This record gives sequence, C-alpha cells and structure tokens, in this order.
Amino acid sequence: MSKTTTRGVLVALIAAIAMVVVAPIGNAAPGPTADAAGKSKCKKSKKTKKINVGDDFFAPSKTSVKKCTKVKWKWLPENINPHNVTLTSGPKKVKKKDFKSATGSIGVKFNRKLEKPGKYKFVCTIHRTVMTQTITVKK
Amino acid sequence: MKKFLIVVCSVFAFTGLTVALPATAAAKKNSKTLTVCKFGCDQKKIQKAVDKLKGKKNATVNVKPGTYKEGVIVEGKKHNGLTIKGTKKNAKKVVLEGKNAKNENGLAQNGVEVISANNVTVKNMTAQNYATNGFFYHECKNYTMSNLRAKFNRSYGLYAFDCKGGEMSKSEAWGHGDSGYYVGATPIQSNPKKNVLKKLEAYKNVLGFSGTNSHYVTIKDSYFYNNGAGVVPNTLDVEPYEPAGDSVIRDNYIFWNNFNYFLPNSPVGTVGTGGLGKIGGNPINYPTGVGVVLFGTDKVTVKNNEIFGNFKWGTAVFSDPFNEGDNAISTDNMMTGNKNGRGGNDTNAVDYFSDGSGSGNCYAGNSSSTLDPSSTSPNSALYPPCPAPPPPAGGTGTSAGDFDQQIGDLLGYVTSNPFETQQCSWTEHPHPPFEDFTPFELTPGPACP
Repeated sequence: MSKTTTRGVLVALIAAIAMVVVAPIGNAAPGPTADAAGKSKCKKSKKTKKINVGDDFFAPSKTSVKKCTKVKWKWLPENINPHNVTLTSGPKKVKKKDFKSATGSIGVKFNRKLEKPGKYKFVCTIHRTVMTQTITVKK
Repeated sequence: MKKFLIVVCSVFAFTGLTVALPATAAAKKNSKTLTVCKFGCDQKKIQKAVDKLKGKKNATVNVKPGTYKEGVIVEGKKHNGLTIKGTKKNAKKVVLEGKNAKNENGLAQNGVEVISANNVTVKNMTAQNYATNGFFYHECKNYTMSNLRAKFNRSYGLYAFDCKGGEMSKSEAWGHGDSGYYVGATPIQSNPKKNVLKKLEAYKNVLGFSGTNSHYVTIKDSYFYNNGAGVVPNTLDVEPYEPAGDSVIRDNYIFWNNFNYFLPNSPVGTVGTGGLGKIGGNPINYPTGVGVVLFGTDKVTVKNNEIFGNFKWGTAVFSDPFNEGDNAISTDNMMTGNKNGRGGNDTNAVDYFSDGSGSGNCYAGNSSSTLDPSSTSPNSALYPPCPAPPPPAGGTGTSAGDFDQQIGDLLGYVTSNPFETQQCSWTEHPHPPFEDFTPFELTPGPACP
C-alpha cells in the first residue's frame, strides 16, 4: 500500500469520525422561525403610532390606524407597576402569540406592524380589569 | 506496513473513544441536572441551562457562586417541577444582577420570572437592581421561593400573581417601590390551595407585604419593620378577584413602619401619581406610619402579633367607597390577641383605627392603650367586641364609614399634599432597642405647616 493510499484511508477515517462527532451538533434545534408579524408585505410603509403604557393605563386606549402602521408601545419611565401588552382577539389568521410583550415596569421594547385590517384588542394581563386597548386597523 | 497498522489501530482506538463521546453527550443531554458557573460547568448562563432542560420534568439547575447578569425566564408547562437553586445555602453567594442586564426585549425585567409553570422552586440566591422584580411567578400553581434575598428591585421583591398555592419562606426583601412580598389576584377556589409566607423579613419597602385581591394567605413568624406600612392586604379595581380576604396574619413582629419614602432623600421611589387613585383631583396615596392595613378586606384575621412603634396607626381597618362595584367593604375581619406598644414602652400613635365602615369587624383580647381619641363616635361602634353586633351598632354596614373618622382622619391623611406631609400628623418618639434592629427614619423630615 502506497503512502498516498494510506493517507487516503486516514482521510476517509477522519472524515467518518468527524461525521460521528459532529452529527449531534447538526441535530441541534433550528433557530426560531420568523413570526407572522415579521413577514411583512408592508416593507415600504414608515407610518408609526406610539402608545404609552403607564400605571395602570394604555394611552390612547382606543385608536385607529391605517394598515401597515408600525405600533410602538412605550413604557413610561415613571412606572412602578409591571405591565404587558397581550392580544386577546384580532382579525382572522393573526396569531395571539405573535402579539405578546414581556412583562415589566420600564425599559420593555415592543413594536408590531399591523398588517391585517380589523380590530385588535389588547390587555395587560396583570391589570386586565382596567388596562384594555382597542386598535382598529383600516384598509 | 507496521507503521500503517499502528496508525490504523490508533485511529480505531481514537474512533472508539470518539464514538464513546456522543454516548456521554447523549447521557448529558438526557440529564435532569445541569450546573451553571463561569468556568468549567455545563453552562455559563442560568437561562441556557433552563432552556436545555425544557421538557424534562422535575429537572434541576444548580447555580454555583458568582454574579450572573441576566434575567431568567421559565415559561410553560414543559418546565413543571423545575428547581433553580444556589449550591450554597448562603444566599449572598449567588447574585442575579439586574443593573445593565439586557435581553432581546430590552432591559432584563426580573431576576427569575416563572410564567405558567407549576411546582417550580427557586432558592438560595439574591436578585438585585432589576427593572421590575426580584422573583416573579404568574399564572402558576404551587410556587416555592425559599432562602432568597431581593433588594432594590423597582417594583416587588418576591411576587406571586394569579397563582394557586405556594410558599415564600426564610427570605429577606428590602428597597422596593411597591412591596417586599406580594401575593395577589388569587383565583377563587372551592378547595383552596394555601399561600404560606413564613420566616420572612421586609424592611425599607413602600409596603412590607401587599396583597391586592389576595386570598388564602397565611403570614406568620415574620418581621415587617421600617417600611412605609408593614402588612397590607387590599382590594383594588385594577386586578381581578376582588375583594381580598380569607387570610390570617399571625405571630409576626410588625414595628417601626415609619419610612417616609415621599421625602426627596428617600432611596426608594413609588407611584408618583398616587397609588390609590384620585379624589377631587388630589392623588390618594398609601398611608405611611402604619403596621397593618386592612383595606376593603373580607375575613382577614390579625392575631397574636406584636405591633409597636408605628407613628400613625398600629392596625387600620377601612373600606374604599370609591371602588367600582363597591367590592371593597371591610367585612368580618378579626383582631385578636395582639400585643400593641410593647407594654407602653414603644407605643403606636394609635393602636387601632377604624373608619367605622362595613360589618362584622371585631376586636378581642388585644393589649391596647392608644385607641383613637379624636372620634366623636363611640368606641363600641368603631371597635366592637367579638362577635360583632350587626349594624348600626357594629359598623355602618356599607363602604361609607363614620363621617368624622373618614373625612377628618383617613381622607385628610391619604390626600396629604405635599405627600410627605403625612408625617406631620405622626406622634413620634425614640424607640427603645429591640433585638438587633435599628430604626430607619429619614431626616430631615418634611416642612410642616
């Protein structure tokens, strides 16, 4: 057997070993899929609407926007109580899980582009008896 | 050829070794226990370990001593039974640090947040300087928080919201803009699971314990001192499951709750617009200088506590006539066997204050020397013995209290403006020593008219 053949066997073996060793890494879970809100057909739209999240209110609590508006919820810096923004109902095919913010007092970031026309109803689950919000998205 | 054989054998030996490695990795992958530390452990971040253990019931994350700048989130039933614990019993050894801690949602909000996961235990660690809470459970069953320290988190120290049953024990909480400990929005249950809070310390918080619309809570064998108010079950419109009630506060030391956090030099801030709404445009604030406040509660028993050195009221019982739906009426609360004022050595300005509202509230077997002298109503109506006679002999029967008491004392006090001038109506005095505690009272006090 020539040196070249030996080298070839070694390369093949090492490659096989490498496959065995690396295989579990290849089985790692894939990254998170882009959420529905992220698959935008409104890429060119730069319309934004700010909504304040305070102790214990949304302001405004009712509003209308055109479709493709990016809504930015802003947690007020003087808040002491924790709040979140959670969709309780929306237009068909809008997934609730795509519209759920973290719960916190200050410094929470939460933006969503509202693409589908219809009514979006949100609550803060911590203060759900008083913190409700309706956003109507028009065509 | 000999060389070739040696090489091949070596390779096979190596292959055997490497084939064994995935088996070890597989074993590790199936392990229900992961260890976290900065170097040489399974993970460097607690969150990574929690994520790896998803789907493994009753798993454990052991956290070795160190400081971890992260906000841990445990979400969903696939984490049921998880334990996250410091490996040392000294809770100072593992520190979750919130200052400048961030995640994809912005600031890290909590040291540990448990969402919709049951039977989760967190113990033996400290959480400090978080944007919201130290340890926060919500929508859960059977939480366990033990041997924890929470300090200077913005809102709450140990916090259980919308949970069915659990325990907070052997913990310490200070420096919170709402309360050191909180159990609230407890779902109404036909066969209730208890919330047991025991062997706790709370100090330098706006409130030591707060329980908005809390139920089935027992608070015992604990120390609540140097807060704005010590122990405050309360009924508010802002959360579900009104009114608060069905709870017991017993065998605690509740003293020196004279932290006037409204003063500009306070290390703790609170709700700037008034925590309890507005009346006539004036914010209504939490009362300070109080040991126990029963605010619109139903069937809360306060018994066998030592309550002393609170400069406004030892225990205050009143309703909320502004509650939507009139759900905050003081009903069937009992104050029994409490020792007030350390035998006259460290008095509360007034041991008991009642606004005279509601019904069934009663007082028996308390050592008391400083009942409110300002009311024109008879004490037998404001502080009836147990069992209380029906209204009008034992309360007005409604959320509206005795007119003199409510307007003269209560409303005037909680609408004080500037807020820090609540202190102007305190009866202050030096405290004799008590165990190894030190009073915390901010100086200078407010400018009083």
